[in-house]
Amino acid sequence: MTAERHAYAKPEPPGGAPVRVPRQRKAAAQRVVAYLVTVWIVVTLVFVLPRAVPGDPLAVYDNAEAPLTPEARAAFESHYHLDRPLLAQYAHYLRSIARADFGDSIAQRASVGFLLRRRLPWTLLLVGTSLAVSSAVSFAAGITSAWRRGSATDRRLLTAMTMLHAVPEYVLATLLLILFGVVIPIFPIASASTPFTASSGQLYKLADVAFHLALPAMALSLGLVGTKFLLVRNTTISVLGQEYMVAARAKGLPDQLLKYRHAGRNVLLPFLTVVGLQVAFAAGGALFVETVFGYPGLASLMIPAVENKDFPLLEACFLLMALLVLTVNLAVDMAYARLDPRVGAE
Amino acid sequence: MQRFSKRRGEEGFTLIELLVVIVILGILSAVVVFAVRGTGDKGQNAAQLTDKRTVRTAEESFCAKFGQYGTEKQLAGIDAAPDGQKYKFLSEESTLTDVQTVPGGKCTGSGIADKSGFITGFAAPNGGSPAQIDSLKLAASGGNGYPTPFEWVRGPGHLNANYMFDPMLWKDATGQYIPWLATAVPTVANGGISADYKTYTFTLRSGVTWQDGVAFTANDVKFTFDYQKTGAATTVTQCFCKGAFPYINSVTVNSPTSVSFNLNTAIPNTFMGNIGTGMIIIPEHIWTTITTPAAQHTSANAYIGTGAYKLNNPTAYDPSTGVSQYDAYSGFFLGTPYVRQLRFITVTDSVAALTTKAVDAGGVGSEEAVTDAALAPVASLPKVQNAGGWNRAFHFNLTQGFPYNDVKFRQAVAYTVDRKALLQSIVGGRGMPGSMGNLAPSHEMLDPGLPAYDRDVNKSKALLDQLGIVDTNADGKRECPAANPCTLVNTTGANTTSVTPANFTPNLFTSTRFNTATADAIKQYLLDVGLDSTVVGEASSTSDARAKAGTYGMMLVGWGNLTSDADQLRTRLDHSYTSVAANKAFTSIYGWNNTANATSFMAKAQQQLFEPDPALRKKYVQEMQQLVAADVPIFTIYVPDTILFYQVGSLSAWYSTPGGTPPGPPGFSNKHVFITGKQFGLPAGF
Amino acid sequence: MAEGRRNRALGWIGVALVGMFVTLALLAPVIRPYRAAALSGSSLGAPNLHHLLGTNQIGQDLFSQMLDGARTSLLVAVLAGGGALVLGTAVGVLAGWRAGLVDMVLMRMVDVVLAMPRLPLLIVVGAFVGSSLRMVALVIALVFWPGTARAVRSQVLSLRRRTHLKAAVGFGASTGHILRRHVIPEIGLILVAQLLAAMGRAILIEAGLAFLGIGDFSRTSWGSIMRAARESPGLYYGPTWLWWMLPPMMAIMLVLLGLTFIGVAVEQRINPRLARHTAGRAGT
Repeated sequence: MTAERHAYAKPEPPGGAPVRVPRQRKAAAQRVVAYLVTVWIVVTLVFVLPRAVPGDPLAVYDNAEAPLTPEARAAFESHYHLDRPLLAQYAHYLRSIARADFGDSIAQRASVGFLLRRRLPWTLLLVGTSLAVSSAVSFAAGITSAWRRGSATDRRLLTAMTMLHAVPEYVLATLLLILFGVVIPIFPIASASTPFTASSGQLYKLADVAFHLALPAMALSLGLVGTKFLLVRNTTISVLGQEYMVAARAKGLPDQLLKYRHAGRNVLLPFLTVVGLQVAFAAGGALFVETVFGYPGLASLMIPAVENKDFPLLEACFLLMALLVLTVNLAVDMAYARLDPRVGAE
Repeated sequence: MQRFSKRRGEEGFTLIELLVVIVILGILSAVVVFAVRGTGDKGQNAAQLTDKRTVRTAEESFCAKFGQYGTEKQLAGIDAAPDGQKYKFLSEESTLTDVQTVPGGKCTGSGIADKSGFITGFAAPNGGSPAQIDSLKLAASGGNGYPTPFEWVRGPGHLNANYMFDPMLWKDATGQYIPWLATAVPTVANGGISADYKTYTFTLRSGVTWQDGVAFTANDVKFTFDYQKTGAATTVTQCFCKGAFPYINSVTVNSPTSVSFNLNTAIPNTFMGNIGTGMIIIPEHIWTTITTPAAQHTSANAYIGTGAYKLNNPTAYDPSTGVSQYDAYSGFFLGTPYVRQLRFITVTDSVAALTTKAVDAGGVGSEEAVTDAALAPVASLPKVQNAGGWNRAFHFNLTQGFPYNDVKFRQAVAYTVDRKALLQSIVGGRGMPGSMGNLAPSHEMLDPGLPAYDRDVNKSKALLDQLGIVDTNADGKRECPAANPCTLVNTTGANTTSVTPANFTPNLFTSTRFNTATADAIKQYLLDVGLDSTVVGEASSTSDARAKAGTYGMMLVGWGNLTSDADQLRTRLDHSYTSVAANKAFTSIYGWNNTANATSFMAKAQQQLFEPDPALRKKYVQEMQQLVAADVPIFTIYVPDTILFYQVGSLSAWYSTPGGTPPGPPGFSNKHVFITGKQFGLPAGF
Repeated sequence: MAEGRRNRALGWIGVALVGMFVTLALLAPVIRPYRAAALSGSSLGAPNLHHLLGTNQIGQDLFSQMLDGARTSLLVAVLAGGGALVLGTAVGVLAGWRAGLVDMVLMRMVDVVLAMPRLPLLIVVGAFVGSSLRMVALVIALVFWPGTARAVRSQVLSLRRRTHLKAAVGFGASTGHILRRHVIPEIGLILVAQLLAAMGRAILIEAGLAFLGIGDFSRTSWGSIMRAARESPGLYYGPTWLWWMLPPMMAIMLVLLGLTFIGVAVEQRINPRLARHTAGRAGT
């Protein structure tokens, strides 16, 4: 799916189209507007969802957890402004979100903001590392594969990547855990760091985190690498078919230069788009990987929140993930426009 | 296209090679970790040892000169000594961070005495144990609430709160009471207990201070009682002491170190457990202004007790995982604890954690059918194994009406469950099937002659037939009689629905904290007699709240204090007790007052409570068990052994407290062993 | 071209793999030796003649559970994959055919859903609407239709420009007629490719939710088998995982691989030059 977007961006020789600044600016403005609309939709969805479920909006809180007394119900309703008209509720909700005030977790008896601050960095580390590693690997492998289309290397890579495509993250993670955590016990199989190492040196702490990150990042990277590899390979193949490339090659330019400077530059743009789109994918995959490795990221908040019907926490987790993903996508879009002026003129 | 791939001989790098690179990077970081960790730890330990020796010498010199201990800055000559002069007993102040001393503490001038932090009186438990343990890593368990006096939940949470707080008495490996904040266990012989068992007088240790430096006195004891009986904590207290409250008129402060409890009715069997060990004393000067005791976890004040440990950082306590660190309190009245630091870390797999030495000690999940093959990696570790007090119990809520309130239905359910098979499959055979009397099979007051309710499908079917719960539409599943519709208790809480013959598929609730396979198996057992059910798994907090509120018809609940005093039967099953809102707990059984047996049970429950003669009391307790076994308002499925593996060279004095760690929860986390490093008694000099 | 032949061969392997699982799922009631939930054997028994894949902790036959899991996966694939396809096709055709404002609004919706992290979205929506298998399937369909919509729209757009369609419009044929007779047949292969991808995703996600422990509690699925295994401590330190954890993992991989292979072959038919361009699953 992620590969579709690039299909319309036909690679052309660098420096082809004239730069039209005003149109570019207009396109950027459009992009920001689209982003804001999407953010608004996500935020509103989180507002509407609990209220759209038929019945008492408090029913989900009124389970055995604590059969709500009338006073508790009144207190609850006034806290969430449920006793006020829907529009007023909505306004209050938007104000809270703007202040990054997500309320309190029901089951964990702590503020949602506090919990998020503690868990989010681990998810960011895992997702960031995996995106970086998988991008580097897929870019190099994709170009190599296209360059030698039909060769044994290409065939092997293509087969491996296609197969990898069919393995869910939770299976990858579990297999890696068994292989490198138990059968060949090299890596730790749980948590993100050795706890209570405050007195140890920075180098140790860094190495410790990297050591714990190895397997989860490997699992998530392998889950991300296939799509990008196929994209790079196919785009490169079409770039290599372009006349200017044939000409450049005929001129006897060195292969490395052709490969990475000429072909690579043209693949970079669609590649960037896919990397941006993959942030959403990686955020989802991270939930699986974190669960398998007991990694203390957002999954460790979200999954128990579902079991506990801890909706404030669950909604905040989703909201945060969605906003991060959307923001990254906007950034990628803007970068794309910068790198490829033709985009503004579409 | 082929023209771009003519150099076939040259191998491009493939996925496999890239993987190899990633793995190599990983291995490299592993090597770095091991290398750095090894040297780092050694270096740190050596530095600490040197520091401690140096400081000890310096303290001895300071002590000899001034008759008291100095602060680090006084020792280093930065601050003035008591005589106004600056003396340099130490060269550097910066190396002193990990040293335990009590500045200003009294010293004898003849070497280091009891409060210095260099405890000399603690003997190693058995040969080869370290003289002290700097840090003990244990597996954390989440869902136990915050370890403040009013926010812990479940037994493990109570044990956590006991690291910071103390009751007047405690227990060691003998299972006998030992003095704790009190100087002696009150007896009739020593005058602590009046001849009519209506006045209990505790003499308290002098010189004990709260962790904030304020002196502990008898007033704190009186305050603790009043605060929970009539004060701000009346409705929120979950104190194991509250069972005794109806029988205590008042608490009198005789002197700063003497306090008396005045009873209206003698409760000779439960007073010591409930009040002596169950009531953790809280500081009056902090709590007297607190009106919402169950919402204090963000305040550091809420963690200040007289206890051996301080919570390293209250906001760092993670209630969902239990990850936390407790540091020894050097001013603790029994001296600095043997284990200087308790660290609770997340463990997803106890066998793996033990194998990789991620923890110093850990049990194998009591409900896990870990095969011997899976246990092989830890088979070489030393272990302690005892008959357990934890159980998975099948609760009925009789207040939900038919069929749960009918003895025959409950018996029919009990007859379907193959408890021996479940013991084998879920617990791996390491334990005992439950006694139908709902006491631990190892309990000293167990009635060994109770009916066993071995699985008997025909008996079960016959009982259901008698109730009119029969299969009328030949779908293989039984329906309720039209004249007597069954109640279904749904998931969203107290609301229940009556259903007529159409179907009878009640919910079987269970907590996902415990093994849900038990519930799956029981669903199959029930199907064998034509009873359909839906297993509903819920997270720990939701599930505990449901059990406490009674919003279930049938529920599997896991809890442990089956080995504690037999009065547990009364507080769990006696309708006149559990129907009082303040007494409700997730172990409570509701509504068992509708049969002659139930009435008889309630009478016996009162008799055993007041009976001073142990033999006669045992007779009452056994009769209570017979009544429970006859009416089956609850039945224990299995009681797993408690098993703990520990690393060689770590804490080795582990024991499982007979009768449960005060006042009930079984398990190994008795603070006594962390504080003394021994199985018996107190540090020398106490 | 050699690549084309290889891709066709892959397609047949895929058909065989998927066909095998479909057959097993359909025949499950006949060929499974025990009722999947029945306590039919000893605890954690190793595979033997009575229990081909051994037993789990409470002695349930894992072979029977795998068969029931195949049924669950098949059901989800049909319900969620089919649902996503129908919804996506409807939106894609509408947007491509109507163009203008309708197109813009619909494509904006597609962008919004595509930009969101979809697994978290599924989890949140699922938490509110419940976790019965039908609800899970419905939510999966609701979250995964936009990819199909986008692919279909671009095809419809290019079709619109073709002469025979322009002629049909010129002769005054009704829109419904044109869509039925000209558009749908033309994009048939694309739809097959999209359906394959959607089914793969549905299977992957349903098993994933069950693996996380937030799927349908009352149903045996490959994911729920894995979850039960995962929660057993020391699992990997004994041989148990070989018959408890590995089979469901292998089954999911093989089915997804089969669907991917078929997808590759179909792509080859659609666009011989760029086969494997979009085949296979896309993001969760």
